[in-house]
Amino acid sequence: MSMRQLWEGTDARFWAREINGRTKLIILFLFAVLMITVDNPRTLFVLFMVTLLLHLTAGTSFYKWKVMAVLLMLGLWGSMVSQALFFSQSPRTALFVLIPPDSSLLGEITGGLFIYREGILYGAVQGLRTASMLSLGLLVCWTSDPRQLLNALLAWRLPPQVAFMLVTAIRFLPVLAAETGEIITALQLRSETQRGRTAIVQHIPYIAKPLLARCLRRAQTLALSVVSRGFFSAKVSQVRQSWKTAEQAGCIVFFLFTLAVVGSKLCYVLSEQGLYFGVLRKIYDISKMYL
Amino acid sequence: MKRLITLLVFLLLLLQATAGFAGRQLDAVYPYSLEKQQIRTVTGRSTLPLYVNLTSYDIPRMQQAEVSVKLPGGFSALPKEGWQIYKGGASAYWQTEAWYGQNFDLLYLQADEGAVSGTKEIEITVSGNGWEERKSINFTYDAAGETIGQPQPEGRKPDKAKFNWYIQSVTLPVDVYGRRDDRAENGVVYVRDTTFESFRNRMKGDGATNWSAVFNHPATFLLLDMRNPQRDIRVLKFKAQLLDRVSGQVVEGLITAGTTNHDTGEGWAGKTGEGAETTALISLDGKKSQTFILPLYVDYFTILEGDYTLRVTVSGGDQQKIQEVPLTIARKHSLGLFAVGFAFVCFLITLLLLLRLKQCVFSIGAKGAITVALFAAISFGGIALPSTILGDLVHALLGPFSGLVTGLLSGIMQYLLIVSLLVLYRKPGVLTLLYVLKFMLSGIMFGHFSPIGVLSTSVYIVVTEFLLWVSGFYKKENLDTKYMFFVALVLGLGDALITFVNFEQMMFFYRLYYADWFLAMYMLVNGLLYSSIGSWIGFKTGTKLRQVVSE
Repeated sequence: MSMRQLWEGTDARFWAREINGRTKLIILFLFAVLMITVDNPRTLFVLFMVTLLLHLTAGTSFYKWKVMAVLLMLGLWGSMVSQALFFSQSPRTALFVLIPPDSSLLGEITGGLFIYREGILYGAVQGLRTASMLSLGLLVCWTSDPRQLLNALLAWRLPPQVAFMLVTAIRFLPVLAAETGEIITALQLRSETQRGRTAIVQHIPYIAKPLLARCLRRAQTLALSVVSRGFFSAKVSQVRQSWKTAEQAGCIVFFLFTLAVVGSKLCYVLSEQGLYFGVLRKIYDISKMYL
Repeated sequence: MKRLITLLVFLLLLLQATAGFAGRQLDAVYPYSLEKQQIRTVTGRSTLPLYVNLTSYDIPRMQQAEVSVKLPGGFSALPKEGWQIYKGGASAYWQTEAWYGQNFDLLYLQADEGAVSGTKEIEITVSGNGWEERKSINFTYDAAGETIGQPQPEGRKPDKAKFNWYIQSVTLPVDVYGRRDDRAENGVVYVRDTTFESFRNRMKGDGATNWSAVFNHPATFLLLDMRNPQRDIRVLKFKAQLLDRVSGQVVEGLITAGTTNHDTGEGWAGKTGEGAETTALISLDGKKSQTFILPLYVDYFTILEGDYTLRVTVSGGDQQKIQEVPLTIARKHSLGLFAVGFAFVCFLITLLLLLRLKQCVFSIGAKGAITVALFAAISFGGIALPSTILGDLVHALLGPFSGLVTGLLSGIMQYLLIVSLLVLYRKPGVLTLLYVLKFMLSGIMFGHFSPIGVLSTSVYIVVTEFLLWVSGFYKKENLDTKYMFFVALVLGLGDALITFVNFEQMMFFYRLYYADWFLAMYMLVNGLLYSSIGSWIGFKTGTKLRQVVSE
């Protein structure tokens, strides 16, 4: 499977592809709000599992599952490593000493660098937030055509000129990638030394200038074409996908649910700071136990 | 001459008269109450202090005095430094000062198990070279007194033969009057965030931070409920320590209040107490139940959030009582809140800027708009895409230090694109347009629509646009090398601020921890260094690209 095919949402089940872009974007945003609100590890895990279940029901292909698994594992691993190093809670048990506090200047500046056992677990739990968001983001990406999401933005009154720019950017992404490849080939051929002629890394600093120059030339040509045909000032034509009432109702319900979760969490946090109301006792209990 | 002789005789007589008034005064009280209560009856096996005070005056030289205490049958003195204890009494040697001196001490006495009730007498004798002072004290001893008609304290039932006093309970947090706030969770102490204390004080107009005052302000108060079944009267030492819940080791976090005040110690000169413990002296006053409200002082620089065990130790004489209670330390993340607040303000400003976006698009024309779109596509394809795919891999290998590598893309490449675009199209709003397009591309292609993404983009837009506007970038006629070097530095500083705000946001929303030095390193390298370099290269690239535009 090519890189391009990987980011296409053509192999997903019909129902997943048919969901309106607005519904997808709203749910994605509200889910992200939920993920930063919830603290309870069990609830975080449940929400993460929900995203995986959605992938199952949407018929995500095996190859995409593998890609997602790698991305999730790398993300979780990164979170665990960073929190194992910087975990700043008690109790914490140092498993390894990377830089002793009194070893050198580095030790004095950092106050010592340790791998904390509790930090690894903490990092794994907190990493569930980004993992869930990544998982749902990939689901939206793999079940939607970019045009579907663009239509959603246009439906929310995105200025047509900005929409035109966005379409231009999306359309020219593969062209720019091809041009970058050409520039790298040219740089490789012009390389004076035999050693490392094929290495791309050493040519990277020299890619920007020719690539940007090509962009400017292309912009000139495109601008002439666009202005002469009156595209730029006109409204961008769009095929409006109907937004079903059931989807709208679903978005409203999910919005209210998120609002309730955020509200109760906020009440609980305020109660910890002294703004306590006895009548909200049950909300405080629910927040403490599940959120 | 006659007058002088008269004066000398007068002074001689005065001196003799003074020597004639020379003397000593012996005072002794048993049982001695620290609150000066008149107590006549000693009950049970209580440990009560005998107060002995010797005042000497008008004695021209230092003298040694022997103090001897003769106890009634069935009573004994508890060991004390400077005293020789023997059956039926105790003795000590005191050095009285010349002309005026005062020597005093407390000697704790206890009735033995077989002591019988009745009237008792203690005889105190202080003697020196050719003088002796005596004092007798009578008191009533009631061997069974402590149990008669006294309600037992609830909770633990101690073996009274072993315990004179003990800790009944430790409650925290309470206020200065010992009142428990039902709204506050039991055993949770909130500690203020002092990271930007100096900055905050200067902004409020309070001047330099008086750290001495900060450290001398208790983080909370603790209610120590003591039981004193033997009705002891004595001074005890209180000590509170934080223990690691896993290892049981004493950890840093608590301190004893500083010894300096506003007059004697300002700023860092102020001594902030020693040892990883809060200490205090408490006095049992002979009541069966007594509560103490004690302040707990926290070292704001070393204390960590989390769950601890608070060990309270009360010691005195040869006894020590320990009670451990669970304690949670929670920090107020005012810096994170500030960062989120700042990001929200940036978001609101961005909304206002978006209203003028259309105007900006028309001012740069179709060519400019397409250029911005293509630059956004490069920014997304060359920065966001590799950062998302390869960033995770680098993150897994280098952990938190991966940013120093990915920063080459997000720092240098990003600012190269921005500044070269701005050199070509020097108009307010172009930058906003680029960032908005990049965010939307990221959202459409990767599904990256999250509150943090929105806030982070807003911070980028507002800070960078503001700095460019303030530095006069949009009004300057010619962009010379010297000026652009300054702009590159300003953008680098701006990116350092953006890095800080975005990190704080991430820590706040994702509940992550990053060390201060790590943040500082990122601000310096990724923020200031990479972005300044990127801006400078962007200026050079933009100048070259002008030739392409004018072709």
